[in-house]
Amino acid sequence: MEKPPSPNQYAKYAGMGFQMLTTIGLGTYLGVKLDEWQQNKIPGWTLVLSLLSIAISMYNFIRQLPKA
Amino acid sequence: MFLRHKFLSIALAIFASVSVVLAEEPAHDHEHKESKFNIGEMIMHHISDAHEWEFAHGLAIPLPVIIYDNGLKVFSSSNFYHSPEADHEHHIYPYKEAGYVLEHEHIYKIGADGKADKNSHVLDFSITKNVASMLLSAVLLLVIFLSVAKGFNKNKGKAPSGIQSFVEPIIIFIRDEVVKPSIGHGYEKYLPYMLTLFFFIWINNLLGLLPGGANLTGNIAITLVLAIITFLIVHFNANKHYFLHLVKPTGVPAALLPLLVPVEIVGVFMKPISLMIRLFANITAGHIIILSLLGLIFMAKSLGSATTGWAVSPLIVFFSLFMNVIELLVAFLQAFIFTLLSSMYIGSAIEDNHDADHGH
Repeated sequence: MEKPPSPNQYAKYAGMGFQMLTTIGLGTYLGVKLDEWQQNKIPGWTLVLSLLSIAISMYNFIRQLPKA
Repeated sequence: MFLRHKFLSIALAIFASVSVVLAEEPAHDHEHKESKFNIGEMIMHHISDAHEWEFAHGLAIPLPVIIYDNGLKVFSSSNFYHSPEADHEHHIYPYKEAGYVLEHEHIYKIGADGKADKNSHVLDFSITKNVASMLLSAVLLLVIFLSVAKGFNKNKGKAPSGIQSFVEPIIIFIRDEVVKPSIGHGYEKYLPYMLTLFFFIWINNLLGLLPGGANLTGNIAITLVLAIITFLIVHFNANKHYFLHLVKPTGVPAALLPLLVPVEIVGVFMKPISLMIRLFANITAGHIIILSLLGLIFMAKSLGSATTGWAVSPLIVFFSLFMNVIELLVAFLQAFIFTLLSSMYIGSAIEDNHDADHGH
């Protein structure tokens, strides 16, 4: 059963990592923009949305892993 | 051997960081040292779209400007660039007779004060450098693939000939290694799109590497459209298991559903967005690296003398050659990854018994 992973597998995991990066990046960007727009003293949106996007990206990352 | 690679990567890193620092600098004292070489501006000029196709200084092909502003108006972009009132320093090119001005590659109406009216909305459908490059790539793709198709029909059962012998293995590779394993049953339906996607991205990546080439696949609008097409194909072909899984993931307690359904839906949109950003960022980054390496020669010249410029040239030419070869690989790799991920998204949306492999 043990086969060396094909190049497709590497590309797949690289894609998943990039998807994580995009999720976190966009979530944080949205937070920063919201804080700028509302002129908040405490960057609440940035904090909440960046942490939330990290959680979402991790959930989606784990969901895409193959079940062994 | 190891040492040499280490040296190379360190040298590259240093050069890259130096060029970034130098690129930042001229922007601050923009007004004082206008005569100095501005590397940041040079790079932005090369990677962004334009209304003319410039191959070298003074060697440019004017392209048609097509605008909709109370009626369709068509004229040559040389009316802008060769305008007598052109302000090259601030990228302002007025075309007084028609009443339009090209400012930083945006077309505005000329207001009452003789300056650009920023509130005017001029719809710009011009054949820009990127559009021209895309049309060129479409012609190239047609020429190549019609000849391959002709060869395929002619040499049926025999060895391929001509350009067919180069392209056919790549088509087979995409079919057997990328599309078939990722989509599985019924992959034939999606093969034309996947092959078009792969060759379109690849040939445009390669055209972008040519001197004077347009940075087409490094334009976020292009990658956006490609990602949207993939997104639409995935969702028009998805089966009920796919949609059911979005609103009710298997094995999740009902109390957690309000939390997980938005997360699932965010994931749906993140897939095409990451496709879009990956291609855009990879190609643009490659262009910026090569341009900053080449810009170092001119930085050296403007900081020192012409001799300094000449002195650093051999090393920089070597590095940019090295980066160009890497970019040849990246051009293929990014087309491959875009195609692979697109077919994987389709595969996951059309697979049967979605629930079977999510048992705990």
